[in-house]
Amino acid sequence: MNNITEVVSAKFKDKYYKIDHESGLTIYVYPKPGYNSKYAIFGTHYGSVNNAFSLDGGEVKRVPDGIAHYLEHKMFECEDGDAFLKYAKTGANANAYTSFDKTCYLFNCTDKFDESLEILLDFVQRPYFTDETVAKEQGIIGQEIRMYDDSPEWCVMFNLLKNMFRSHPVQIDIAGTVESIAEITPELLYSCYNTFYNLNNMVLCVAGDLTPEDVLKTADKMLKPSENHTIENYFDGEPYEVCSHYVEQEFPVSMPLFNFGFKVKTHPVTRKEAAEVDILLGVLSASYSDLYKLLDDAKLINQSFDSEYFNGPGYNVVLFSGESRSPKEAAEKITDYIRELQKTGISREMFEIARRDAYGDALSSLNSVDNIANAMVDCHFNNADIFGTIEDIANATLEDVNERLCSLLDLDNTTLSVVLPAKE
Amino acid sequence: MNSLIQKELAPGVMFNSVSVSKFKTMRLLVNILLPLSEETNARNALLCYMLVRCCKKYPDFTTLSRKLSMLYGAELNGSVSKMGDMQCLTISVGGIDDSYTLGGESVSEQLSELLCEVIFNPKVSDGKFDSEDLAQEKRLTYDMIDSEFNDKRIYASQQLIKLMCADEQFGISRYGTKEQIEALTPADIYEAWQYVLKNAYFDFTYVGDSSPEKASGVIENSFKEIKRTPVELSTDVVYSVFEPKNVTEEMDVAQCKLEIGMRTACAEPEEDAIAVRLMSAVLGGTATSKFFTNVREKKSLCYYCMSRFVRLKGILIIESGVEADNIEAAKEAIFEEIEQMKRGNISDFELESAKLAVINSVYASVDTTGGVVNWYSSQLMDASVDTPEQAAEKFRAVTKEQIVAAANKLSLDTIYVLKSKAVEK
Repeated sequence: MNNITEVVSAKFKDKYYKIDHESGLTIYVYPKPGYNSKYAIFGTHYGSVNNAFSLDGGEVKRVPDGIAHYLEHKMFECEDGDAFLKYAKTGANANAYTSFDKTCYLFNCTDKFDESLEILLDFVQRPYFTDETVAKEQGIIGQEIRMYDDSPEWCVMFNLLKNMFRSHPVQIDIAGTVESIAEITPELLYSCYNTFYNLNNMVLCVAGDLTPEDVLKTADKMLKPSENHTIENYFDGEPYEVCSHYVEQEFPVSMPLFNFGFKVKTHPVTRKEAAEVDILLGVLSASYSDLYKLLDDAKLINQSFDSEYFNGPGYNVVLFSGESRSPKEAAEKITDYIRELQKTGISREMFEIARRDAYGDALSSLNSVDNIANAMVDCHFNNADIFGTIEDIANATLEDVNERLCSLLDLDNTTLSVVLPAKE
Repeated sequence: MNSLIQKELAPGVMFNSVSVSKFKTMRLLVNILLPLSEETNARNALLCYMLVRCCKKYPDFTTLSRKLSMLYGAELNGSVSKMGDMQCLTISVGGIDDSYTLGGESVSEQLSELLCEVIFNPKVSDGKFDSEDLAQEKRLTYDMIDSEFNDKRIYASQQLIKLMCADEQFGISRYGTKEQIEALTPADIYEAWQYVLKNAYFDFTYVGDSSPEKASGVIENSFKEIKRTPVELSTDVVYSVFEPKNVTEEMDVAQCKLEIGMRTACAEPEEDAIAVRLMSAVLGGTATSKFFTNVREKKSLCYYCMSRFVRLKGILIIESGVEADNIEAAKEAIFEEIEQMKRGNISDFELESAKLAVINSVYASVDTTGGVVNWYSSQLMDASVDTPEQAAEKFRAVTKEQIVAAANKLSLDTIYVLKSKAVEK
């Protein structure tokens, strides 16, 4: 039996359905009347950091770097043809991505939703790897890795992570290296697939002008019941301290780029904490903030200045990023400012500006079926709820945000990563 | 979707509105159109950035940002683009719908007023804009120019246009050169502002649930005092090529960029432009296109290969990221696909999947307020203003014969290659 729960928000004039499907899969359906686009995303709680794991208490398996991403590429190749070509017949816009902690397959369409959903549920549940098809992908992914090597934004971030973390796999390039992907075999792919692509470890989120019945019609037909297994992920003991405080690399860019990260003590992030940090980062980096003005007046940043709270199993990082003529000076000013603010606390006026700003942003995200479905995947894997997240922002207090400011940001545990213009 | 309601508020000032209830937000945008020109691009572009930086009422960037954030993270944006041979200064405001505010205030009303404030009441005195503000905006513009240089895909595409349209207004940068920007004075910006108010073409578009009357009223009032003589706007289309150009540039990059520019001998508002749009989709606009399937997937010659049609200029741009060793082979494969199109070797599957993908993207684009605004405002110079449904109908009606005919009008204009420096690895 499928168990359906309706979650309504009178305030946001929206609702969604959570379905515990008998196959073991959790399905969310978020109706958006009047929308042309329909968006479906089928994700597994498995990303590039899950490179050491055990199944049901068995022996710990270590797999090559980049295998989750490789697996994602290979899933599109089915025994009966390329999944992209199947989507072409329905007109859906299909894609997939692998991040640090999840792999997601998605499509966006305006027509023939049922057929597209059937394609999605079919190919993700039907792996097909042979020596020949696995070998063929090496060249394409090798090219992709080279393209990332050319991206200063990508390199400045991974240089940061490599110098921040000693052993945690978050520092490893999501696509792996040309050497590591050469070790990938069909057997290894099947082993990862069978561990993590279990419906109990997955979620399907759908948003658009649809009802739960529209989705269940296809889900009931396509989902193959999965037995629930216990997956254990292993991350080598990662020290609290960063490895190094500074790293730089040269690139053919005309202006330096920087990532300035605060390594935070590892802990699971609650919905309330996420809301408070959202407001806090507004106070610290949004265009209305005092720090932004200070850096801007000193000509140390431009509009690309941004911040992010970036976290997952075993890694929590508060990140400031941007372009700067002098990244070292910018990082120093950020540090000094935070040190002072930790003493004085955030003003009530600034808190109110940041709270309303964050609320408006979060509410506006309910305009987009893509945002909604993507957010619901994150909510599911983090035990959160999409409406609750916005409510938490509206209800946040100044005292709690001030408390986050002090507890989260350790001024001695930072790394600055810089990309400098190559000297001719 | 409800169709567009249009009215002229003053000579050369149009107000368009679409009532849509499905969004949590509203948006009001104005496109300010001027002829692209080497002499005025830089000052107009900086004017646009100065207008959205601050105004008399909110005299600095921080005060203005705080006002917007107190309005629940409302947005005020300025951007500069090219629309055919016209320079387009776009200013828009957007925010949450009044029914979701925590304190019951009307965001949409305050934002309409704010848009008029920034256009009509900028921070000026003695016939000049603020010099410190101008220095800051100049710096931000240099940074933007630098970022575009950093992104080699954007850089390569800009180089192609520059080479290909060297004799057309379209070939010049939308915000001038660094030198031209450097030379601007606060009085130049004032002069540009005065010129814009009197002579530019203004096209406003409002999308939202609440009534547009308030917005159009505020705008109409603002133009009352101004004696307007709108400038003539036009776009040149080049129909034939005398001799194709071939340019290679070397830089320290791992992946080379291959850019091919072709003339389509057909542009908006010509009726056949729709067939060219679809031809571009079949060739390289979708994940089932000839380029994607054959050049990328089957022959593994590139990381990406796509085409796009600049419909007001009658230009087809083909862009590809390739390894140095594959440049010649990729070029050959791309021209082979074009040849196949010309001969009519287009399968039903290729045609139908391209139509589906194009129509899908049309419908998908109008699921955001920004998308709805863009959908209508981008048709300003087209033969007709279509709703998404009408456009879909037109795409469906295009035949294979029309596409083949469009392909046969293609002529090669310029090939630009951004190549990695030959270094020993």
